[in-house]
Amino acid sequence: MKGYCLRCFLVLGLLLIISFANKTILAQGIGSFRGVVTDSSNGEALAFANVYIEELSTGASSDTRGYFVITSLPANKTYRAIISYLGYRSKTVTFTIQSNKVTHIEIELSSASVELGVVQKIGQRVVEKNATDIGLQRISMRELESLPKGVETDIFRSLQYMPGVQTTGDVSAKFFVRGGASNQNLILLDKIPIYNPFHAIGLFSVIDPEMINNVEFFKGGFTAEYGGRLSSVLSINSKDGNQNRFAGNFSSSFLTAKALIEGPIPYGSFIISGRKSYSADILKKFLNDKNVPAEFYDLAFKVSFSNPNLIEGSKISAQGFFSHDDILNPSPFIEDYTLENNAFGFRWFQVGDVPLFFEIGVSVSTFDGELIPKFSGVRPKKNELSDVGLEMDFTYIFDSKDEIALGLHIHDIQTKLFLENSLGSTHDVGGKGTQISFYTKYKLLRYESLGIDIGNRFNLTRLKGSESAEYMFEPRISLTYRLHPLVALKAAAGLYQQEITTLSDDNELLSVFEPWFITPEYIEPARAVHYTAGIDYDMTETMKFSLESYYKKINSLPLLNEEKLFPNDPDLVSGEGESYGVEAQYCWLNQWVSFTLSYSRSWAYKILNGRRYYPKYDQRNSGSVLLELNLGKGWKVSSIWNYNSGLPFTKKAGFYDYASFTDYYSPWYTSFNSQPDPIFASKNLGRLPDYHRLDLSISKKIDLSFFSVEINASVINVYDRENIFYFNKDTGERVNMLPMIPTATIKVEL
Amino acid sequence: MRLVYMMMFLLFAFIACEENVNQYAEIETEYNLFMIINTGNPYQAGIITKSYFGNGTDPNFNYVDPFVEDLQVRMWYEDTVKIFEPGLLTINQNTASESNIKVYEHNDCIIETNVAVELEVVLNEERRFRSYLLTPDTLQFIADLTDQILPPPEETHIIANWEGVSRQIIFLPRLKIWYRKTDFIDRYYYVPIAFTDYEGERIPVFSRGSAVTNISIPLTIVQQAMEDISAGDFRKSDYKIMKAFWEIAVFDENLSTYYAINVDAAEDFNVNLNSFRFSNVSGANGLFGAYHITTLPVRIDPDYIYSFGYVAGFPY
Repeated sequence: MKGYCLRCFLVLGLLLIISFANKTILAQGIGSFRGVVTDSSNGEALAFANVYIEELSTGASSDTRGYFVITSLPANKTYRAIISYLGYRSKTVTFTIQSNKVTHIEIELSSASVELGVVQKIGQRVVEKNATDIGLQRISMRELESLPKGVETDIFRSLQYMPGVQTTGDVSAKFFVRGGASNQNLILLDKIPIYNPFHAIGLFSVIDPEMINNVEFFKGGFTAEYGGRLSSVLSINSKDGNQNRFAGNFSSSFLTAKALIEGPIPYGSFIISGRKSYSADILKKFLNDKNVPAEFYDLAFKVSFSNPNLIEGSKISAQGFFSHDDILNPSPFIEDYTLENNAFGFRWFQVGDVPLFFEIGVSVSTFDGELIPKFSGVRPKKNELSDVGLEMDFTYIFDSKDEIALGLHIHDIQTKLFLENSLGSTHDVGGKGTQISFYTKYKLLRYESLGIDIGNRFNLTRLKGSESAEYMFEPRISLTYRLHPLVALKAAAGLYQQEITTLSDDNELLSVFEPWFITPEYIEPARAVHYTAGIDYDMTETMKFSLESYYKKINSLPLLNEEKLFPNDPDLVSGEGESYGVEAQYCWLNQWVSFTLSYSRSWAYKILNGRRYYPKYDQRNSGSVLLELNLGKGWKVSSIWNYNSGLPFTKKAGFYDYASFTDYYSPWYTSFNSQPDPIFASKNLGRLPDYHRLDLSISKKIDLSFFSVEINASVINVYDRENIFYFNKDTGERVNMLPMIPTATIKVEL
Repeated sequence: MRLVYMMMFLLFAFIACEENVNQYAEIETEYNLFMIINTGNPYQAGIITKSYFGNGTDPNFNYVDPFVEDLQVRMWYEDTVKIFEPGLLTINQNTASESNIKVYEHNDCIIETNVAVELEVVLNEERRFRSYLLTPDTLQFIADLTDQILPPPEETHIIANWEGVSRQIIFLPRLKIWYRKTDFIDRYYYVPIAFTDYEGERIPVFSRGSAVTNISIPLTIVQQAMEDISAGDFRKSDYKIMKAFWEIAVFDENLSTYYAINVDAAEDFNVNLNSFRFSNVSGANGLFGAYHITTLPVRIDPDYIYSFGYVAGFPY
């Protein structure tokens, strides 16, 4: 069966390439308009820019590479297109569509910081009437940079302000999406999976924001091209590097120093970014003044190449990412950790004379983590993961505007996880396997008021276990119906599967090292079903309101076996998960002001052995108010106020004296010791007080003759709210989250 | 404008206040039993405590006596039944409460190895606790693979091997050196498996319990141990080195599981909000376990003793 499907895919893919690659004829009397939108100062792609054809009142948005295509334009006519992007000067281009031809234009937009006062924004409603994008949040680097920085800009911490994203407090950067566990989030950097995306015991992300061009964040209901995780996809696209001139920047915060160098090469560009921690003092604020001997660095590079003389319409890139964390305690009685990610990828993106896009990528992503116990008494852990991937994706756009996409994704994953059991012997509980999946999807976009993205992901092989047909299909659908020019109804549903998990303790608020391994054979692969529905209301050109509701059910959810007593007891047990909620967001965006108001009401449950409980990140209400002001002359001010209702915790129903003895060679009473040990009431039935926090940030950019300096001053938790993090289970001591912390960063751009 | 600032200040002052939250639910009365049988020893004792709330949030400041008295405690093994009586152990205790250790004890309760034992505690007519164990078997050293002379000739380590039993049990081995000073009091020095330095101090590291059926100690460590016996004392000849012993504690399955769970330290940076405690007592929490010690004498070469300036207790 799987061989048949694979052959079908290959034949279909070849047919698509052969059929379309050499054709120039599309259809009589119509043509297509294609282009790429870039920043005039550095040639970086501008993702999510709007392209609007006045005469036809139609348009498109650029994708993450800056590309856009508008098909089925009546030929032999001249049109005017307005290309706009928030914070940039809009541009009008005139072009003529020829019959059966694709008209390609490269458009450069100038930043508003260069030319003020002439910025236009074409509302999303005009150009994306039937976009099937429920559950998707798009974030450009410009938006990311304008958020209050905190210690320093961090992509994961920025996500935490979005409705539907939960945390267990502001200490950790770990996030939970719509009731899913953190290991159910797929983190992709240029489509390469990153397995341990955290620095410094989970306080920050490993991805240096200086490298990021844009981010797509799928909170649920994602379509068939994404697989392997149950809850969300965070797809981070890096910059290509400055194509016009050599440039660089250096910046420093209380935690890290970093540098970025970029510039043109023949037919392309390069970018290299590196970051290293130099002081861990600020980390004490995160852990109740506890010393955190964390040192880390990360390094990323990308080389992009596009030579029309070699292969017209191609863009080839090679990228690498390396991160390393050491937590080395001076005491021999406290364990050490080393954590390392290495990722390397090569991608070939090709557009042809016809609206056919294809992209082929190969990648290697590894993660190595080790807990070195020294003489601490902690059991050692060693984890090695390698993921070698080959991905081929094809998209063809019909004259009718419909799209067909298909892709083949092969991931050969090997995990080794060495754990010492209670009897002192070490076992490898890892495994290896090859996951071959291909997807097909059809996007029905021919009707202006209706968009349907329907597809399926076929799992031809599984990483481990039997090849039951039950786990072969992951059907997905996402649709949009524009009820009114200003109002769109959206919905999505899909089945999702995950065969790799982490050894994570549900009771841990912070954990340094959560090793990955392929879900063992005694547990079925975890499966989730998502149902999402929502409404978008484009109130004005600059104001938008959206409302989304979701329901998610997870079966065969792998949970740590908390009652493991004997070495032969399984490490994991199978549970269930369920979550549902509603999210609302109001945005008002223009060049000077950005105001976002978010609210979500949600419920999340886990079920184990028939017992239902709230997971640690279940938040009933959460909301945020984000205000950003561009004051001109390089001054920017931003503030965010975040509110969450109390997180669950387990109350204590008393204590008993837990007896122990230390000299096992003598009668117990000669070395008797007893400590009060809590008796826990029903799990997570208590609620901590509400959380709220205000962050402020002000920055000033000073342009000097041959360089510019940006100085940012931020205050975390302006009014020093004492948000409770947890109660120490042994002493009952209250431990709070982040206090008021003033921070500053300085960035020099050449 | 001043009014606005004032209102903002008051608003922040109000919302910045720490909120109180009760971290306690209604008390659940639970009982805890703790009894470890020392095989071959006539005196056996155990304790039974009851749950309580501490004084304030920190339970370490507890003034409630947790010990439960006046219960019927019975033990069955082979064709014998023993009734345990309340007693008081005045030992150098380290407990959270200020109470003495009130025990249930028996002075004539010798239980041998490989014996099934049942313990029953009667709380009242309706409620009783029960627990069972099988005392650990005697282990056998493998003579060919166990050094019985120190130092072993032409070796860098002194080793011991023994035959384990088939069950999942834990062994805790060590080497101890028996010596005397001029007062003829028996003293023992426990030889670590390694030393580590921390903040200028040399700290011994001892073997952890595991199912591994051997132990190996570098002779450099043994040498250091021999020197430590008289550290700081120039009168080396006052020390008479008698013998060494291999000493292996063998745990029954219950104590093995308890040890495996409790001996693991928590990872230092992890914040865990719960803890799992092992219990093998039906109707209550706690541990009913057993252990057995097997020893094997190791002769110490007199020349080796003399090399440290000591006197050999058995000069042959």
